[in-house]
Amino acid sequence: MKGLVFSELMDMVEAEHGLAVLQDVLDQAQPSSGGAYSAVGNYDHQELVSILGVLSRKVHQPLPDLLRRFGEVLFGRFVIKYPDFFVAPQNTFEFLSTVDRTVHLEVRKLYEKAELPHFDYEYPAPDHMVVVYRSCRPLADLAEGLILGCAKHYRESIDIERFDIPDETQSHSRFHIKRRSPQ
Amino acid sequence: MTELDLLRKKLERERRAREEAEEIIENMSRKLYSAKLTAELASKTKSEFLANMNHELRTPLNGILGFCDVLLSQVAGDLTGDQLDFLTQIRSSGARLAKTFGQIMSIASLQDGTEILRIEEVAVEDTIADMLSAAGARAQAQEMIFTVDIEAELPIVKADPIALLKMISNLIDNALKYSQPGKEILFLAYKNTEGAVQIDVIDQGLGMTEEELRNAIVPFYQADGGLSRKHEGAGLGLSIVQGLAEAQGASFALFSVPHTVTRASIVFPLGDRKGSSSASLPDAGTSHRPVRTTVDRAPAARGVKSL
Repeated sequence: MKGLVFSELMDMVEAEHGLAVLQDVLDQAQPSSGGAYSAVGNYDHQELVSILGVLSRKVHQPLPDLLRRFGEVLFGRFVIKYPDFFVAPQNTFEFLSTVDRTVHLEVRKLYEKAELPHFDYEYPAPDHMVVVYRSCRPLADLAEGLILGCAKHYRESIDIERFDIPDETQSHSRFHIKRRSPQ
Repeated sequence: MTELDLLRKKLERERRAREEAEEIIENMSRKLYSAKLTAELASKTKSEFLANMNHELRTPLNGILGFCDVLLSQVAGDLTGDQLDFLTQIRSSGARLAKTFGQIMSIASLQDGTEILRIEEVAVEDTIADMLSAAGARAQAQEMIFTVDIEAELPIVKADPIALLKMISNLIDNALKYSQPGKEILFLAYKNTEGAVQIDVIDQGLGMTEEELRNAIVPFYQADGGLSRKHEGAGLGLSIVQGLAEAQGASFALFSVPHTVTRASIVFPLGDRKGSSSASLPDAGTSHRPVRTTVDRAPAARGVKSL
């Protein structure tokens, strides 16, 4: 998994829980990298799950909630770091539709061996989109957080209904995203 | 753990992350440098191969064409009617091969950036007069109407005269190739509304769909591709025109309505020197001969620009 995700996680934990908590978490989780993450490096995704697992116990918040929160924060960082991706899409559905064919394409140009999740899209109705998420990592909660962060960026109200599909080889979920009408 | 200790540990993590990032970037830079060297070597090898092929193919081909001409002139002895026909076929096939090869070399050097152009101040009409006369004769032979309409006092342009000839020759070749007997091919040169010199070659031939127009400048593309295609050629003409236009700072545009009309336009940047063309084209005879009509107004007035 790309180091950028880890370095952003370190920043978020420090910003939201303090440097002492971050140090405690790293001391307990004992990630093999030692918690020194560079944005251009690659690290085992288990380190992320392990760090968030320790944090979850420490701050008494469920792991899925922490992953979703991290997803929201991470999306906000993407908007700041990669503004070009957000020029053309005008709303949540439009942006999500570009992830596989544009965002991941650009990521692969820089990181040929990046193991990225795969997305398929369905559009049952104008205000209803289905994002089918497949990944070799069990990070559907993080994906959900990223979708929520996307809606926040476009200042849209959405409801997400998630269906996890049992799959022995990969994480597989269907996100039914419904756009609420403006009040 | 004191705050100072925490900050020290954070600093240590960041130092290690920075060192790791530096190592990754160094490795990537080495790989990029190596890939650049490989690409440069491949490009050099390709250029050398093309230069060799240029010599190896052109030399025997020139021999074949030259001796065909000698035999056809019958200075080496009289030929029977069949022999003349066969030799004419050999000459024509050889000329076609030479032309295709020349086009392949042109597109290769344009793509390589090794095409050397000599941009100078050019009087368009003087430069293309002979070629237009020859094109008129070809049109006449194919029973087509070839109309030339060049605005008087056409400004001097900045172009490479040989490239200019090559571009217009390719456009007229295409117009002749895709037109039918009885149809008109229009050659226009005029000062457009922006004050630049524009050359249009307009034909009433097959025309192109939007998709075909998009692909028209893709090298080796032919709208009627495949084994069943009716028109010969390597599909390089328009790519060469586009490449030469770019290399000269000119612009090239295509407009077409299938089975109705195609207009190919080149717009040249103006030269610094004032002046105009002086050569004269053959006078109008019948409508099947090259026609020169000097006009004092832009062709837009005739509705040409609305195509």
